[in-house]
Amino acid sequence: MNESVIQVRGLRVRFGNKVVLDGVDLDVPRGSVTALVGRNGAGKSTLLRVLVGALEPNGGRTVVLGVDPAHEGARARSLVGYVPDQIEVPAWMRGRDWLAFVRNFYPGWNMKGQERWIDLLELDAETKVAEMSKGARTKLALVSALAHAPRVLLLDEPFSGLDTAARHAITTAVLTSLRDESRTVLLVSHSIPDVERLADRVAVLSDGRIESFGDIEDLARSERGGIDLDALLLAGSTVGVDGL
Amino acid sequence: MDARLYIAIDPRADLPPSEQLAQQVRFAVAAEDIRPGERLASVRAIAVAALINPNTVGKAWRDLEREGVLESRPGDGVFVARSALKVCLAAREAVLRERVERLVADSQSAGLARAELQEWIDACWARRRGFKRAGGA
Repeated sequence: MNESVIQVRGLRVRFGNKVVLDGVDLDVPRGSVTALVGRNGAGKSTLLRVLVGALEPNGGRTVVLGVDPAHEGARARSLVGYVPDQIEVPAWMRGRDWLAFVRNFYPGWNMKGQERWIDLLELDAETKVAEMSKGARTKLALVSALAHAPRVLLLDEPFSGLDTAARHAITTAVLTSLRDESRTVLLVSHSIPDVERLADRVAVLSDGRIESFGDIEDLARSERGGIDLDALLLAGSTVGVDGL
Repeated sequence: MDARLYIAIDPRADLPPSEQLAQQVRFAVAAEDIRPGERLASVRAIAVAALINPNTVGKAWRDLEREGVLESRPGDGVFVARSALKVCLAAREAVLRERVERLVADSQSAGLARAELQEWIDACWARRRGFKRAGGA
């Protein structure tokens, strides 16, 4: 667990005059599931977008599996599975059409793996995206993120707006993907029960920096001087997410 | 996963997930649902079945090994230790005594008469008789 697969040093991002990330330092150890938490607008999604090379930072350095996504975006994306918070898939496509399109970008795409994830998630891949529920679209995004067997999986609010059954399926799939012991997950979520199930480490993003980072059970339970996950996440939480 | 080891983790409970899991294993051993010498499913299989992070399972296993409930045999797996039953019976008794202590304290501060509490316990006992299910926390 000592080897970091994601290293972030002094990362700065601003949009116009607004500073979003102001010197983020983060090491995500290999084989861990690290939850990135913080209030709405704290810059969690921005950090993930930098990690997949979709956004060029204003300063600092990031390395994902030895690759700098700011300079080698396409290479970084081919190594990483990414489920964005806004899933944009053409509405007229069937799930399977989308997968057939996406797999062209990944040399490591595994058709058997694709079918296994479809089965495990109980996704109806013959349905048109326009007719899919939010849960089905998230499952489709997860299949396309996992089918090329990435060593790093980045999940941006994968539980947001999902019913219990869909959240159960997503949780099971992510935990099953951890049977590959070298896989590392960075998870952005407001859903505390899901974070407490899935994650073993938590990083708290506040005022553009990582405020604390450590073992989730230590951080979530420390009485004094520790963080209170509930209070931290209340602002902008997804309402009505109880235990699975 | 072994059907006799039924694990249910509630992430919102007071106990952290690793301690909930450890507690449920202790109760399963105390109830002899799983016995010394038996091999447990792999950490990753249990993580998927219980819907928790594999490192959280690993943490619970380390605690249970330290207590003498589990025993890891490198290359072979994790087994219920020979000393487990004695340890788990004592652990279960400690948990139950703690709960009784709390129940009595709450009843006293609510001004309940001892006979009244006794009546409730008797009624509850009768209702649940035959409903045999070793539960965790």
